[in-house]
Amino acid sequence: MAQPRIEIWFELETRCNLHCKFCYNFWKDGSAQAPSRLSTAETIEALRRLFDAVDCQQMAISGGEPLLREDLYEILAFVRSRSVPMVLTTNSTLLSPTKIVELVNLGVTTFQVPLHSLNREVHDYLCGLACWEQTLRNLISLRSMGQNVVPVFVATACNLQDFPGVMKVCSCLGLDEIIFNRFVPTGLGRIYENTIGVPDDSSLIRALLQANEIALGLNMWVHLGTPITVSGEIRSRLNRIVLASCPVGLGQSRWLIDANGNIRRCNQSSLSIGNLLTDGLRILLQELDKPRSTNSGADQIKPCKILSDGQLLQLGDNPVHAPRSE
Amino acid sequence: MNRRESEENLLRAVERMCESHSKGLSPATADTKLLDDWRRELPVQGATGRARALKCNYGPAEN
Repeated sequence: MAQPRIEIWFELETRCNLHCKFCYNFWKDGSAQAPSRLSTAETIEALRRLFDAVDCQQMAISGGEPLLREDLYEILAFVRSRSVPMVLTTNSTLLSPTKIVELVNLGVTTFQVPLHSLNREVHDYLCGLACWEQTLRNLISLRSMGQNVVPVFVATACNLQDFPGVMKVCSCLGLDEIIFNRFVPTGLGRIYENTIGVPDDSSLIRALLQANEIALGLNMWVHLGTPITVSGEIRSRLNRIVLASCPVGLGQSRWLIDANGNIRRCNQSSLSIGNLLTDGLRILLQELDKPRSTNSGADQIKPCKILSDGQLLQLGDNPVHAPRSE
Repeated sequence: MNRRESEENLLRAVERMCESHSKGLSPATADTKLLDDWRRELPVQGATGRARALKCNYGPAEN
């Protein structure tokens, strides 16, 4: 029987060398402990069990900052040995030409690198560290070395207006696809939400309509990483914007694994269906075996609801909460 | 010019370009040309790799 096809977002490392004000890692608001970390051997064993049971179409290696993980290369080598294509989601500050070559040799096919503004001060403010120049430098190096690069823009109220310019500069760097993530205030983002601001739906839709025009002119595509609800009329006008759906919706085949081997549906939620080294894999297979219409996983986590003024009403297993001041 | 110097020149051109766009101005012609020439020599990004990268977000709205 054919194995179920899934995609994995692997939060391999909980530590990060930046302090992004929008970071969604759920433990960063102080409400929970960061997931503990499996040893190298345990991590590889967890992945072995997973790969033996499912057809993993691709794996995004994320964090935290995955390049901080000391045994990263051992883990990548194992994933590569199972022929699973890998995307490295990195803030890029720890990259070097030598490291890029090593990562590509270990099976990394694409680098996802954040660029949040044309303005050094805005980017560095959002990232909590002066890294704008290093980011541009690494984007140039990656492209000069012929690597696939997809820039990622997190849209907060304080940088939303910069998106058109970011698209234009990315185009000049030969990057014709870009990910646009609306800021969802969880984790550290929950602490800073009043400072950096959550764009409301109407601002986001205006930005997307403008981005669509720019994308048409530059032959680019904009991919939403987090869902934005648009009407049918607006949707028909966004022919260069690839919309996204909620990961806890019915029929999704994208799953998240954290550094402790816990299987989760959503980056923003701490709720796990189980651990790969205990009973999690069995539960995952049960979930994947259900017809889409009866997939009950979404019962456990409710998708976020964001009011038109940007206030987060509900996210995942978190109860309704009001924006918190810094 | 070695690769390091070349990339340094590109970086400064991109920085100036960012500043121009931030101010709503057109980038300097010399900077645009430098990047155009560089971009023309770049290998085309692999479509497969790109698609794989992007699918690893939350998935299409139609799901």
